[in-house]
Amino acid sequence: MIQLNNIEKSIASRAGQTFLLRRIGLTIEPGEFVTIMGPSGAGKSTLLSILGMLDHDWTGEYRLLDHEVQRLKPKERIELNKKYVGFVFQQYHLLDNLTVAENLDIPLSYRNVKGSERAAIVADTLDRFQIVGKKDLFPSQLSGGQQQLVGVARALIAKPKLLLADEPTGNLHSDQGRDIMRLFQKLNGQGTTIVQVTHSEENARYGHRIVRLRDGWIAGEEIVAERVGAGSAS
Amino acid sequence: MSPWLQDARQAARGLAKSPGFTAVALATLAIGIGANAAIFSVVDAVLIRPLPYSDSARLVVVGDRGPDGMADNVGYKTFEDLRDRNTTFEAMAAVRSWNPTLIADGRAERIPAMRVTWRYFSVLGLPPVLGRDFRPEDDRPEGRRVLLLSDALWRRRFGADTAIVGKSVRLNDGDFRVIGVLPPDYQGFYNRAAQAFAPVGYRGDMPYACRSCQHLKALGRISRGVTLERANADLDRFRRELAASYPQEYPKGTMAAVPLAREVTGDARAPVAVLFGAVGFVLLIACANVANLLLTRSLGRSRELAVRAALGASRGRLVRQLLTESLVLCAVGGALGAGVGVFLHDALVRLAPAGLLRLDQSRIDGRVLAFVVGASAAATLLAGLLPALRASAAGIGRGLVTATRASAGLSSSRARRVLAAVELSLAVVLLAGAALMVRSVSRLLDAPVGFDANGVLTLGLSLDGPAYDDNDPALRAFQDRLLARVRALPGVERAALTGQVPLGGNGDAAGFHIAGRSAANPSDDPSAERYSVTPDYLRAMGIPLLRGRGIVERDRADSEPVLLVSRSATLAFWGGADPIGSRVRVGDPDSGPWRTVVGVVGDVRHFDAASPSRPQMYLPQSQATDSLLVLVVRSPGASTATLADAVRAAVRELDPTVPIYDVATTRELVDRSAAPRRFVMKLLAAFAAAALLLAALGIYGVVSHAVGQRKREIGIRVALGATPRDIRRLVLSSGAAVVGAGLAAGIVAALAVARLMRSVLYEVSPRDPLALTLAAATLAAVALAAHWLPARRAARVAPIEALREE
Repeated sequence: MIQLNNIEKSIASRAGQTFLLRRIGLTIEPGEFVTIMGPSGAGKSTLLSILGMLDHDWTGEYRLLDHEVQRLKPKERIELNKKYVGFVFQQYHLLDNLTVAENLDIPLSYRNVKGSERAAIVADTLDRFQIVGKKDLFPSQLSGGQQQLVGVARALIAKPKLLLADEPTGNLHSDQGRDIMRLFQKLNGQGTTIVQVTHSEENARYGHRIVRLRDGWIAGEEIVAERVGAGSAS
Repeated sequence: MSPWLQDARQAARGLAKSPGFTAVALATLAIGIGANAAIFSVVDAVLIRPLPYSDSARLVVVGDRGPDGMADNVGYKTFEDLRDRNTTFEAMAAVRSWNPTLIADGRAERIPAMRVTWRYFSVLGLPPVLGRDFRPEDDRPEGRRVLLLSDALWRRRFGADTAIVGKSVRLNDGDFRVIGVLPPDYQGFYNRAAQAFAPVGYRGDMPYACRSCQHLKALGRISRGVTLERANADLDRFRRELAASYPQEYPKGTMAAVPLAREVTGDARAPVAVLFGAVGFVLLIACANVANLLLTRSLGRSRELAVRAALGASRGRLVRQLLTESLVLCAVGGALGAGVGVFLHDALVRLAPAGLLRLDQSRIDGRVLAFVVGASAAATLLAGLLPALRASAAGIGRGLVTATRASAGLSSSRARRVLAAVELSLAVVLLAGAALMVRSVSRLLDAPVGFDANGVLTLGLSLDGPAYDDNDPALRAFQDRLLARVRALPGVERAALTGQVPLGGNGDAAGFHIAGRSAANPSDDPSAERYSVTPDYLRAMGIPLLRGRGIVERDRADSEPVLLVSRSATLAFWGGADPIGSRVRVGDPDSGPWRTVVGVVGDVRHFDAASPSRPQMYLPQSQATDSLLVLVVRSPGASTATLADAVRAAVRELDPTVPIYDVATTRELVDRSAAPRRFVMKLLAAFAAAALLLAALGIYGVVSHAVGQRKREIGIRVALGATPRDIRRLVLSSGAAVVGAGLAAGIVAALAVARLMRSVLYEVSPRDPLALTLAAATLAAVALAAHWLPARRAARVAPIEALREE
C-alpha cells in the first residue's frame, strides 16, 4: 500500500539545516495496522503528515498504491488525499460552529458527492457509530470521547483506504481510549489500513507492528501481532 | 501625577510601541480630518462667516421678486423713489456693471469696474483708506468723472503711488480724477472682480434712467431694530403705491429684500453643502476604520485588561483609559489633519476655476482650527467608544481565563463586521454621488447648446469712449474694416461681430412688444435675449436658420428695420405659428422702430449650458450698433494662440486703444459653463476614491483578521480534503454577508441622500439606475479585491502548522 524510500525532511534554522526525518524507508501492506512511536520531536507527526500528503516539502520516494507521490503536483496530491486518506487528530479538530451531522458532511462536500447521497451517507454513518441522537449537537456539547468518536466517523465517512491517526486517544481518559482503539481494531479487521502515532504502549498493542523513531531516524521495528493472511514487511 | 495625565502617558507609550497600528490609524485620521478642514474652510466662507462688511446682517438686495425668490434689477427712477420713500432702510445704494478701458503707459486694458451711487461704500461700511469717499455732488451727470481704485489696481498699474489722489487717469470714456483707494481687503459685491469705481451720475430725465430700464442692482442697509419681515412689508406697500401711480411701468408682482449673504453666496450654497456632506462621510469612514483597528488591537490586550480588572479597575476606569488612548490618537491625527487641511486647501484654491464657490474667500484660520479640534473630539468618540466598551466588557468579570480571548474575539469580530458594512454603505453613497456628477457633467458637455462648439474663436472688443459712440458711423466703419482684415487672415473661414455670445457671461435682454398683441400694460410684455449681429454671424457660430432669411449685407442703418427670432420665441410668443412678417418693437414700447420678423433660427443656451433656452432675437448690428463687441472667427484647424495674435495685430493697426479681452474658443465657453459641476464632480470623485480606499482597507482588515482567527478551522478543512479553491470560496463567501449588507444599506442611503443633490445635477435623476449600479458594482469589485489577498493567504495555510499551533 505504502512504500517509502529514503524520505528526508529538513527545515532551515539558525544553526543551518535541521533534519526532522532522515532516510526513512518503510513499507506498509494493505490491511496493516502500524503504530509509530518515539519520544517528542522524533518526527512521528511529521511522518504522518507526509503519509497524509498534508506536507509537500520533503525529498525521497513515496509510493501510495500505484502513485509515485514525489512526482505529483500539490493539487494532485490533494486529490490523492481526498481519494484514499482519512485523518483522526489528538484534539479531535471538529469545527466548533458546525453540528455533528454537519461535521460529518464536510469531507463529502469536498469530494463532490451529491447532496442527497451525502445526507444518506451521513445518516448511515451516524447510525453505524451510534451517534444519531447527537447529530444536532455542537462539539462543545459532547464529551471528549464522543468528540473523538465523531472525529473517527468523520475520518471514515468518505471510505478511505488509509486511516491516519495522530495520538487519537491522547486527550481521552483510559476507558474512552480503549473504546476508540477497539473501534480501530474493528475497522482494521474490515480492511482499513491504519497508521497511528501514539505514546501509549498499550494502544500500540492493538496494531500489528510498531515502528520506533528517534531523532528522525527509524530506530527499530517490532511485530506485535501476526496479521491474518499476510506477513509483515520491513 | 493626575490619573488623566497618567492615562495619557501610558496611551502615548502604548501607541509608540505599536508603530504599524499607530501609523495606519494616524494616516487615516489625518486624511479624514484634513479633507474636512479644507472643505470646512469653504463652508465657512460660503455658509457661515458673515460678509466682510460692517454689521453685514443688515445688508439686503432689493428689487422685484423674481421667480427664484431673489431680487431683480431696478430702474434708476424706481431706485430714487425707493431711496426717498422707504421707512425701513437706513441708507440705500445702486450699482451697475461697467467695463472701461484703462489707457496708461500706452497700454489699453479693459478693466472690470462698477458704476455706483455715491453712498455705496458707506452702505457697505467700507470707507477708502486713501483719499475720500464719493459725495452727492460726484453722483451727477456733470460730476461723474471721479474714480476710486481698488488696492490691487492701484498697486499693479500705479505702483502704489501714495500721491495718486487728485491725479488724472485716462479711461476711454475720458479723463477721470482719482479721489481715493479702497482697503486691500475690500470684497466687491455684484461684480467681485471690480477694480475701479465711478459714480452712476444719472439724472431722472436721462433716457436710461427710466423705470423700466432695469439695469441697476439696489442695495440697502436695514435700519437698526427693523426686521427683514418688516422691511419686506414696507417694500410691498411701496410697490403697491408705485403700481398705482405708474400702472404702465410696473407689471404685477411684489418686491423682495434678500439678505446680501444669500445674494452673494447663492450659487455656491448647494454645491458646498453637497461637498461638506460628502467629506463628512469620508470622516465617518475613517472613524469606522480606526474603530476597527482599535477593536483588533484590543483583542491582543484582553489579558492586560483582565489583569487591570483583577487589580481593581472598574469598567468605567478601563473605558476611560481606552478612550484616553483614542483621544491621544485623534489629537495627533487632528494635528496632522490640520497640516493636510492646509495642503488640500492650497491645492483646492490652485486647481479650482477662478472665483468658483468663493474659494478665493476661504482660508485656514482659527475658525478652521477650532473645527479641527471639534472633528478630532468627535472622531475620538466615534472611533474610540465602541472598542473601549467592548474591550472593557471583555476585561471585566472573566478573570484571567484563556476563554477571554475567544469570547472577546467573537463579539469584537461581530462589531468589526458591522463597522465594515457601515464603511461600505457610506462608500456606496459617496460613489453614487460621484457617479451622478460624472453623468451630469458628461451630459452637460454634450448638452445641445445650439451652436457649433468647435473651431470658433471669440474675442471681446471694447469700443467704448468718445471716439466711438453707439450707432456712430465711426463705429460701424471700424467694424467693417476689422471684419475685412480678419477675413483676410490665413485659415479664417468666417468672421462676424455680435453684442454678446452664448455662454459668454453677458446678459443683454430687452422688452419684446409685438404689434397688435401688446399687453394692456406693456410692462407685462415678455423680454428676449438680444443679439445684435453682423451678417455671417449665424454661419460663423453654426446656428441653424430654420425659416426665412438671416441678417444680410443689405440690412443697413437706413434699410427696413428687421429682426430674427429663435424657435423658443416663436413658440412662446406666437404659439408656434409662423412669425415672419410680424412687427416687433424692441426695448421701449413707446419709441424706436417697428421691426419686421424676417427669419427664424435655432435656440442657443445663453447663461448656462444646463439651463433651457429662453426666447432670443437677432438684430442687424448696422441697425443696433454696440460698442462692447465680441468678434467671432470660424477657423477650423488654426492654432488659437496664433489666430488671437493675428487678430490682436489687426486691431492694433486699426486702433491701438481698443483692448482685446476674454479670448476663448466656443468649446472653452461650453467647458467653462460646466466648470462648477466639473469641479464638484472632481472633488466628489476624490472623496469617493478616498472612501473606496478606506473601505477596502477596512474590509481587508476584517477579512484578514477573520482568516487569522479561522486558521485552525482552515487547517482542519484542508486536512479533510478541501482544495485551495474550496478555501478561497469559503473566505469569499464568509464576506458576502458583510458586503451584501453594506451594499444594500448603501443603495438605500444613496437613494435618500442623492435627492439633496438635485440642484447640482443636470438631466440625471438622483435615482439614476446606471449611477447606482456603477457605484454598487465598483464597490463589490473593490470588496472582492479586498477579500482576495486574505483568501489567497488562507488557501496557502499549511494544515499541519495550523493544527500544531493549537
